[in-house]
Amino acid sequence: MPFVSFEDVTKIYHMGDIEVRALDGMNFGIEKGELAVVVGPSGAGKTTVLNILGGIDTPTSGKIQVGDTRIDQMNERQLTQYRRHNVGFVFQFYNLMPNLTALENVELASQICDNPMDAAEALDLVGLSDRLNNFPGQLSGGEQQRVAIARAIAKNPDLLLCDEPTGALDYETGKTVMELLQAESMRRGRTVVIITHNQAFCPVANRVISVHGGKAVKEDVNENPKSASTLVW
Amino acid sequence: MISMKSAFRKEVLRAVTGSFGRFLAIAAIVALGCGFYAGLRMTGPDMRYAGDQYLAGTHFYDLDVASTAGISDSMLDDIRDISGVEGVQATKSSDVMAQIGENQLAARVESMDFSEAENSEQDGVFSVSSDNNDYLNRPMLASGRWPTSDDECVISADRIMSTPVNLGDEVTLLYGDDNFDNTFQTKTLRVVGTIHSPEFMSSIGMGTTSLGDGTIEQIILVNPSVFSDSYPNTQAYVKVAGAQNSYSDSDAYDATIQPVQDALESKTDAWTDDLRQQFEDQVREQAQSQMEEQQQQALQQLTAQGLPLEQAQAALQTQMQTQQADVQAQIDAQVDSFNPDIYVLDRSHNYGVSSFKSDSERVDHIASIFPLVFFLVAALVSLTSMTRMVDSERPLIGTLKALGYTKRAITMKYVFYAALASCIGAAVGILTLTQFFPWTICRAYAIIYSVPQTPIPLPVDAGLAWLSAGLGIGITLLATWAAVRSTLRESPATLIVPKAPAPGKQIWLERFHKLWARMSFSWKVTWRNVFRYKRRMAMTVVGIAGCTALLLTGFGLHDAIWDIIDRQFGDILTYNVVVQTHDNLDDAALLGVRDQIQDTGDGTDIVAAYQRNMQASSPDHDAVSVVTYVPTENSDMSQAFSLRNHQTRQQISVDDNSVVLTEKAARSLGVSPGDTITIYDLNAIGDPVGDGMQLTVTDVAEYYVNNAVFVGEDAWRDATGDYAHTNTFFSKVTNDQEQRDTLTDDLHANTDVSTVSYIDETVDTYRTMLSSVNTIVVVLVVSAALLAFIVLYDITKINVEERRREIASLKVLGFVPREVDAYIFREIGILVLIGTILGLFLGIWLEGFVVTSAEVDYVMFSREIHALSYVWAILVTIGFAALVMFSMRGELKKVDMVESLKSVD
Ligand SMILES: Nc1ncnc2c1ncn2[C@@H]1O[C@H](COP(=O)(O)OP(=O)(O)O)[C@@H](O)[C@H]1O
Ligand SMILES: [Mg+2]
Repeated sequence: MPFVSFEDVTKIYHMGDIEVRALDGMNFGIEKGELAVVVGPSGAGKTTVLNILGGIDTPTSGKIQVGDTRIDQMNERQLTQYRRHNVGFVFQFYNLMPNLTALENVELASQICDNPMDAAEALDLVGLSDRLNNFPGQLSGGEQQRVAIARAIAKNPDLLLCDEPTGALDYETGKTVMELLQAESMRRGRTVVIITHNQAFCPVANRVISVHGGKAVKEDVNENPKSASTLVW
Repeated sequence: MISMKSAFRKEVLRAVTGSFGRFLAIAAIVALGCGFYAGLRMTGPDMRYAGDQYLAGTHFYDLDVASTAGISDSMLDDIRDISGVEGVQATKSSDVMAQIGENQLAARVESMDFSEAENSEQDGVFSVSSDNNDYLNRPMLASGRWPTSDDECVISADRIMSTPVNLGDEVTLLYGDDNFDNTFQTKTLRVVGTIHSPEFMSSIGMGTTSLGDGTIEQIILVNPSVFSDSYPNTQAYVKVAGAQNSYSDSDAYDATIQPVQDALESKTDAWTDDLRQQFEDQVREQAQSQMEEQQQQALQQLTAQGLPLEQAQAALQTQMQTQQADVQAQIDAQVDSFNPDIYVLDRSHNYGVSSFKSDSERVDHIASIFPLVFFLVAALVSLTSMTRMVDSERPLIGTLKALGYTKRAITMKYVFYAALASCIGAAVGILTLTQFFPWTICRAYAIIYSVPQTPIPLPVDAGLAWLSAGLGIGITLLATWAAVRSTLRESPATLIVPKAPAPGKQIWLERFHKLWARMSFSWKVTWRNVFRYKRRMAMTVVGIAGCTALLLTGFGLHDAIWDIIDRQFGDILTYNVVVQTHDNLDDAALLGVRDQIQDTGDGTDIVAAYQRNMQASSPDHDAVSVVTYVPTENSDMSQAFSLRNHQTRQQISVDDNSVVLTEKAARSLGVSPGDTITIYDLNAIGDPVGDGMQLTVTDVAEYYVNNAVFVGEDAWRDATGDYAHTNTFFSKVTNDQEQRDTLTDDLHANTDVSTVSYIDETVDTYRTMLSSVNTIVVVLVVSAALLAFIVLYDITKINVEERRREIASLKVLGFVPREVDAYIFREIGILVLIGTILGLFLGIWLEGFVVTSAEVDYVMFSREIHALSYVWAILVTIGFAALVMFSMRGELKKVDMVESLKSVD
């Protein structure tokens, strides 16, 4: 049994009379400690997968298991606790609190969980130890995304979920971010799921899940993932 | 272009229906602001309008010719001949002490031709119609019927009597001025009906008199033949042609009245001479006939003694001549001392009319600034709501702009939306509240005045309506226009991405390193957020402060009103009964009264005093009426009046040389201890006479009802050259009602006693009077509370809307609902707190202002706001804030993480 598993998961949106099947029988599994990349064209259902996996959205039907728990059966309160203790999120547009310093943004997350990493240490990990007291507005896009990653990993989550984390970044900074995420999975054994529409990231991953039309059309296991520092695109 | 237009129309419609809540909120706040402003401003004019309708409908006089020596028939003819005089009604009147049912009080007896009343018709609310133009001041029958004989009368239905008077009750005219015995033919009457009279429209007081405690408390309308034939008409009421056509507050009215008033005044000297001539003729005739009679008697005596007629006549001749000279001297002296006064008075001399007018003006004063603050708060909120709407639709604006819509078209969409919301709001608010406020407040004043209520719809003052609508709509439109314009200056590309949040920065609190370091993380975050958006912070604080201030003003006004009663009748006046006697009683008579109070009423702390209604003046200030009290018989005034200095709370005693002036009088006269005032005696119509006497004020005492001056015995003697002679006793008598009734009966039976009044009854009168002002307070407080609620709701909603992304982020991080609530609401809570504290200061100022302008003429309102009122103002504001936040929790729960964090594609 893999650490993360999706079995026949569907997600149907109703827009008036029209049904949109965002997920249409999604099946895949991810092992613990893997770096998984979900690829697919726009509208394939990648974000939906991630949102459901992260507990910020619920499936219409199907079975989702993370570790020993069935998150498709959780209620609102349980989902909140799941997000609080098990999941770290990184978004394309960072979603930092503009009014808090980098340190405070990380503290915002770490103060609410049981076993947090020290906020300054998390920022040190992402290489921002000298920017602790800067506000998001004073940081570049890449730096802000690194704060977002620090915020996510400070919670010591089992799952690190990233939705197009490099989407708004240039090549160099995008690469730095990928290196960080790979390090999280390789060195700390965290399960990392990265969404991208960029096929170039596939060689870095342990597992590549190709999504199309709400279905996982292909699942590749990569025995020898490349280091992110060697990535070219 | 055409399709663009219809698309535009759809777009506006979608904006309205899409956010119907916001549309409604803007309309509601504009409605409340405009309606409150216009409604309160129109109340005073509406009251005056109703008063005017009433006076016009009952053919109330325009001018009143009053004469102390009566109005002769030739004077009446003269008056009728003046051009512009439409009707003249001659009336006999006299003030008496009367026993009406169980009540003994000062009353005015007035003659009336009841056949006129029988022939007239009460049509509708306001008017009594009659073919006779000489039928003026037409009363309306409230119950019973009109008198048909000389032993019947009608009394006012508006006066609330301490013991109710029923139809059929007996009225006894007890005593009056020196001429009382020659004034009336009938002194025992029966009440057959009650009336509303425009002449006595106030139930608090019906005019001043020299009897009793100085106020006329009831009117008694009787057939003219109740008065003696020899008693002349005392009044000629004059109706001026055309005056009815203009509003009695207008210049046009004054202009119509003036020529007639001038013509009447120009005749008063000639009339005075005529009256004097008549008097002289009358006196001479009397003396002549008396003399002739005496001579006849003397002649008879002499002839009876046997003297021949001729001799007797001769003997009397010389005696007659000296007597003639004596009589002439007597006549001259009498004529010299006969000084008839003739006054030409306009309506302002009528107690009811003038106090109704000043009450309506008091409403104007309250309406001058309170609604303005209210209005500004409302405008601020509608402005913020529109700005927020424009901000939230930035991406849409960007899209429209990219699609090639002109700036004008886009601006129009929002301006049109704002116009629609604010116009609907203004129209609904103004139309309803300009009916509701005046109606409610007029109804409250109906407790005091017999002015009928104007039936709804009340007239709407177009000028005021447009002004308040214009301001309300204008501010909203201007704010909308400015917001859209500044948004449109940005390029479509920047508009489509969400507005860059205000960059974070250090706040001043962080400079206090120690404090900052010790603060918990979540408090740091809260403080940061408080200071993050200056505009939002300012608007929240100002909005809340305004509401708290309005609430505090309302509660404070309530304190001000009811304190009067507690302080005046609880703390200051320590007696519970006042017994007034006739002037210049001998010691035995005074002792008799004193004994009655002591024995029958268990009276203690009896204070004997001389009391007199006078007028006080000081240079450069308007005169005020005062009651003068002089302790007599070595009485200790402090047993009846516990006087103290308002600021220092130090007791003030009335010593032999004291002159203690009460606070409001001192303020009106602009005097303080050491300054000199002049006090004057009053004539029959309440005007000052003589040169007055000078008194140097030694103390100023806290005092709320009426103006008074307490003069020590020596000071009084120094000023007047006379000892003050007891005419009043104050005492604390039993509270047992039965025993009191016995005391009252005993005292009434004592012919030396003129009035007995218990303070409880006086308190009731004031309660009645103040309860109408209190209605205004209730209206103000309820409106302020409503405003507070809407403001808090809008502000909180805007806060939540602006921060959806942050809220969603918190949820994603796994914040439980309680933590999310705390994160958002703690900050709003702090702003509410700051606003509340500022509001208290603003409220103290506003309350002071409103209290001063709301003050009733002869009453001083307390300036102190009770601690409890502060507590209430705080509790209502914070309570509403809590309530709003509580209801907003659902709103926070509804914030959808996926939606709110959607990366914009
Ligand atoms: N809230 C929603 N309402 C309706 N349809 C949605 C909603 N969210 C996503 N979809 C639809 O579901 C499909 C999958 O969306 P998404 O998971 O965002 O795709 P991806 O991230 O792969 O681009 C798309 O067709 C999208 O239009
Ligand atoms: Mg996506």
